[in-house]
Amino acid sequence: MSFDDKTYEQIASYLNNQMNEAEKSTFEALLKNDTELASFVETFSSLESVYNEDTWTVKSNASVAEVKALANEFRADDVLALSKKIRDIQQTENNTTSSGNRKSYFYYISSAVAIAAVMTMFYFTFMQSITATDAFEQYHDWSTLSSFQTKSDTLNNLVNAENLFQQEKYQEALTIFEQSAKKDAIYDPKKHLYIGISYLELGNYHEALQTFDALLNSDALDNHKAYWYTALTYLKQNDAKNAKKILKTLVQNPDNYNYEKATELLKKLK
Amino acid sequence: MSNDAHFIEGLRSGEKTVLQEIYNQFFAKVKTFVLRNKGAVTDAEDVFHNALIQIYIRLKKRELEIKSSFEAYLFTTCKNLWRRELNKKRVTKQEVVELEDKETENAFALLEQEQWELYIEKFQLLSENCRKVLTLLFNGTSYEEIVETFSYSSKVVARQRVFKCKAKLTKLIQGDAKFSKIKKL
Repeated sequence: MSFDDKTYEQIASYLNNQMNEAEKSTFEALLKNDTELASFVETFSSLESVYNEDTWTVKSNASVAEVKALANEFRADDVLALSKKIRDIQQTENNTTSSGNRKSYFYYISSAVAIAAVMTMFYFTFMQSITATDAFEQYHDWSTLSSFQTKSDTLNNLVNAENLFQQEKYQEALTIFEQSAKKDAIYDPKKHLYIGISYLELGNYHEALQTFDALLNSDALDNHKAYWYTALTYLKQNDAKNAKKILKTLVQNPDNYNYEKATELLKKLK
Repeated sequence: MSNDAHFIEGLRSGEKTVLQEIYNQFFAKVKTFVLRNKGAVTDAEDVFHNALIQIYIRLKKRELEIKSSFEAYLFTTCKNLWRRELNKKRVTKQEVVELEDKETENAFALLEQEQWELYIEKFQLLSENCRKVLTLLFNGTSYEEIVETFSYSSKVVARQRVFKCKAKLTKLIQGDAKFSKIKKL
């Protein structure tokens, strides 16, 4: 399967949204008639979602008949027997309270963890409200920020900045991120998140809020992350009132970043 | 028999002692992964169970050849199954999704795993340069940074390069016999 250069050009401008309406409808008509071309375009546009770790989605293009046939394989007797064996093992492991010495050490640790978990649950059930400062301590987690590490070492500078950030050298990290962001022609939300949080950690709340505000108003796909980090900025300043205001905006859309945490936090916050 | 072959044969024949060994040695890591990613222990158990069943069927019926270690293979399968669940949760929040029966779900998951493996396998066949460019691109690097990193003369050049690499990758994926097997009829 191969297409001529002109077709490739058309595919490129179609996928990059560079066609005018007339060109677009001509090309789409072509796609309808040419299954090979359509299949190529479909696979081509699926690449990003498969290889991007953040948006990871894989779609199978199997036919209904094939899915049905395969589903029947899962209903076969030998599969059911295997399934039962695995479930039995899992059941036994769960029921075993002290099965021999080999497991006892693990058992004690896991029970300690379980008890701690239960106590934490009680703590939160009975002491529903927490202060803004406590909330900040509990809910800020910079380790969830996406990383600049890649397999190639070409982004050295940003990786350095990220390392400095992780070592809590926020001023140094901030300088590098800001320099790099200044050079960008296209707004890079990832960098600006690091910049905002560095400001936050350095106690420059005004700058932090401005940075998150800019993120919110950017056309970045994940601009809604700004709500969460703005709320954290208020919490750090022990300003529960404003934090709540932002969190209430956040929970209006379940797709927003950290929707569940925000809902939970809103319940707890004094 | 090597350890991996021991696990694979044990799973294929459904030998309970081997299944127990598999559970003892590998479940903890899967559990940690699921717990760290918004899941509960029961989720981890389901994922582990479904992964073993999936591998079993693929070994018996779909000529699966495990090239890496059994542990790595099992873990990747579990990881993908859990990411798939998370995606589903994200979607179901908004719209009412018709509930498929368990077996159909498992069938979809198996086919998607095969599809994913094909994509990963073909990616390795690209030139080193293409792999680098696409790795950056798929991890959210902007075209500006790609221009800078590879010293391309302009964004247009970078876009052309990316297009060529993606086209090559598409051809590799579609050219594989396994792709036509999972192609729409």
